[in-house]
Amino acid sequence: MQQRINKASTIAFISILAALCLAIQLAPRLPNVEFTSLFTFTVGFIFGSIIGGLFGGFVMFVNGFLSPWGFAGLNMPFQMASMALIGVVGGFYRKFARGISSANFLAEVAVLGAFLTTLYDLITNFGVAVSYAIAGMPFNLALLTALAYGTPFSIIHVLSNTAVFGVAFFPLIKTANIIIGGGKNG
Amino acid sequence: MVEKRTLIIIALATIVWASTATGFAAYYYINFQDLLTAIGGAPIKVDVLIDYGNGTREWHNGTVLFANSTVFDALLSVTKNVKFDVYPSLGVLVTEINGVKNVGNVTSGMAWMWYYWEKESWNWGPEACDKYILGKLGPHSIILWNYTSYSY
Repeated sequence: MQQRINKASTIAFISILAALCLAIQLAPRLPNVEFTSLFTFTVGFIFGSIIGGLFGGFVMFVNGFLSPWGFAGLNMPFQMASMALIGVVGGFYRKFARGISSANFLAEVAVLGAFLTTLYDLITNFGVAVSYAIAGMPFNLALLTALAYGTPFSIIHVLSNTAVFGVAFFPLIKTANIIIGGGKNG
Repeated sequence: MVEKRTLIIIALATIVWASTATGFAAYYYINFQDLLTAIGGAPIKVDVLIDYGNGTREWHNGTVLFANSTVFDALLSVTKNVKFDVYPSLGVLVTEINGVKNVGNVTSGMAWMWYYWEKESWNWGPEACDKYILGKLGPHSIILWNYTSYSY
C-alpha cells in the first residue's frame, strides 16, 4: 500500500514538474531564462538517468510545438537531445554527489548548471546551423553565424542557469523528498 | 594538494568561459564585418590641399573618413563653405570654395578642378567628385582642389 502511494506521489510529482516546465516555457519571460534545465536535472537526480532523459526529451518535444517563439522545426531534435542529456547527467551526478547541503555542493551544482547550459546551447546552435546549411549557406559560415548570434542569448542563459541551479536545486530536492515520502532521495 | 573533484569543477568552469568567450569573439567578428561592409571597409585617411590659384594653399591633413567616402565628402569634411551644382547624369560640379567662385563660360575661364596624388604626380580627377570613391586610392589618399584656368 505504502509502495503504491509512493508511486502515485512520484507520478504526480513528475507530472507537476512537467506542467510547471511547460507553463514557465510558455509564460512571458526574458528569452533564455528558464527552469526546464533545473527540473530536468532534478528529475534525473532523483529518479535516475533514464527517467531524467525521457523527461527532458518529452518537455522539449511539447515545448517545440507550443513555444511562444514559434515551432522549433528542425531544431526540435537537437533541443530534445540536449535537454535529455541534462536529465541523464542529473542521474549520473547523483552517484557522485556528496555533502548535499554544503556550500561546496551548491557551488558545484551551479558550475555544473553553467556547463550543461553551455552544452545545451552549443548543441541547439549546431541545430540552427544545420537549418542554415539546408537553406543553402556554406556549413562553416552557418556554424559561425549560428554560434555568434546565439552567444548573447547563451550568456543570459548560462548566467541565469548558474544562479537557478545554485540557488534552487537544493530546496527543490528537499521539497521533492517531502512530497514523495523521502524514499527516493538519499 | 587540490582535490580531483575541485579540479574537475574548475575544468568545467573553464570550458564554460572558453566556449562563451569564443562565441562572443565570433559575435564581435561578425558584427565588425557587417560594420565594415556598411562603411565600405576600414576607415581611411585623406589629406586635402586647396589651391586658390593665387599662391594661397591650404593643407588639411589626416582627416579620417569611411572608405566609401567620395572626393566631395573629403572636401565637405574640411570646409562647409562650398557651393555646387548637381547634374543628374554626371554628378556634382563644385562652383565655389570658401568664397572663390568659378568664372567664365563654356569655352574658357577659371574653375575648381580636383586631382589625386598617385605615382609621384597629380592626376586629373576622372569623374565627378561625388562619384570617385577615396578607398580606390588605398588607406591614405591625397586630394588637390585647384582653382585653375581652362579653355576648350
